Amino acid sequence: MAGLPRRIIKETQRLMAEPVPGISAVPDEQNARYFHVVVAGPEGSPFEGGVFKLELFLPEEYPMSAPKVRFMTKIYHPNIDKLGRICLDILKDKWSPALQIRTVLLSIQALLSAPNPDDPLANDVAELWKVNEVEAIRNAREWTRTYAMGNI
Amino acid sequence: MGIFASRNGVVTEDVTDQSSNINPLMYRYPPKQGNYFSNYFIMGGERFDVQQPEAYLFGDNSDLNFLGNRPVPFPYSAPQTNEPTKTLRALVNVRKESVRFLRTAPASDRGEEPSYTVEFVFDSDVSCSVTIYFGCAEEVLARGVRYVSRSGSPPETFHYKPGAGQVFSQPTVTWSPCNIQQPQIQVQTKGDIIPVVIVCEAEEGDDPKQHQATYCLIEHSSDASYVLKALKQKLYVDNLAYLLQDIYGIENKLADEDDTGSVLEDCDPEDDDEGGGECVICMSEPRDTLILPCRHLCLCQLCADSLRYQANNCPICRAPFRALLQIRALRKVQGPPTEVNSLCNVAKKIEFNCFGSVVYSSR
Repeated sequence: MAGLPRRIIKETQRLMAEPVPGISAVPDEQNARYFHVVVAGPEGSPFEGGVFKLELFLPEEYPMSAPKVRFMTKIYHPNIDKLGRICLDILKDKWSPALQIRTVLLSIQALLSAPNPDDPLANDVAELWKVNEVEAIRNAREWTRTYAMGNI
Repeated sequence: MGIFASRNGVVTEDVTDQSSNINPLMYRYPPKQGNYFSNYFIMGGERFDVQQPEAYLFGDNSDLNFLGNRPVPFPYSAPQTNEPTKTLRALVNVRKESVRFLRTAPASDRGEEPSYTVEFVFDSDVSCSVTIYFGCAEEVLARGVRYVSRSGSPPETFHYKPGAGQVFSQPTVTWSPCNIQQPQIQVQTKGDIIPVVIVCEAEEGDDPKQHQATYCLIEHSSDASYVLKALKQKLYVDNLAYLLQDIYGIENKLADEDDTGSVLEDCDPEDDDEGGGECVICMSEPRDTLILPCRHLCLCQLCADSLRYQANNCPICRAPFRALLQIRALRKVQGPPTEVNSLCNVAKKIEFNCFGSVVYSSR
């Protein structure tokens, strides 16, 4: 395997030195391109109090292509499907090499605060979110309690 | 037939046929009829065909209207393709961001409108003169350009010695809202009258003397005061007008640069963080490549090379890019202490690695 690009080393160092509040990202001991990520559910969101595990992988082409990010903890969210895949434009066509691990994780944290049922990935969740937001938020809280508390 | 030629990132204008009467409207963008641009341009001695002709590579198409409404003859022979880059040496420079109005204390309490004086910082390698024209009309002549103040008496000219970071602040140069009927007059729409033009002219060097013109707007801000804003700058060298364009992303470097005199080499690679002078892609090498037309300086040469095959958009603003331009920043400011130390206006310090002669044959 080719040596680790300096950008990845730098980003990792900076993530360690100045972590994003509410987010931890630690590189895997075996693979420096694979990060174990933990995101705290944002205050005021139905995910508050939950702790969500994610995996983040930097492909060979990174930063010319986006990191691959997936939720490992089950989450009730219109833009995250049951496999943990995330519907977020900057992870797809709106990726820019000026973005970083840090900015991606910040965007995911923001997505938890502001679900967007108009651009759904989990159709059933998005549908409920649109027709009965109260119930959808109740479900999200329940899932958070069931799957995202005491899980780490 | 008109030819626009640009070099060092700024633009000059030329025609071969001077005999006929030139309709000034022909030299405004957008043209009433026909195409303003051709379907190719020439840069670094190479010809490039373009898919979409209506595009000025170094900024917005409407910027071209700052160049004046009449062509002037190109004073140099056509460059050879193997000729090295020529650097344009600016002798005078008004720091665009420093231009502002200062409110003067009212002379009496009779409820008069307040008046304002103009203040800015400028750099000059030679002795120079500064004149400020209010309500200025620009007349392009066969040999050079003339500024005429349409409001009040002819403006006073102030003389300065060489020096960097000099402050222009003259109590007799005042502007008051009652001087002018339409203070918010727009350069773009009204075309002829520019609210404020600061002309800084070198008094040494080759004839015709170099000068820089800074075009300013007066804005009425929400708290009822008036604000002076520098909009565009032109540098005249050998009677050619070069439109100076800001480069975005060079600012952090100049903050470090102030006294050390070295732009790139003094950067401690461990010290600079995200906003620093490093390439946004590799985060290691210094930024030296500019994306056109959005003018974001965010890449190193190597990453620029790989980006052009893998993407079509600027990493910063996502606007499609048409060209990548490597600039070689001068690494040392050598010479006497009077050497201008500022990077505020990049035209002075940078040198493009290609002779950016953009030829638009039209009409």
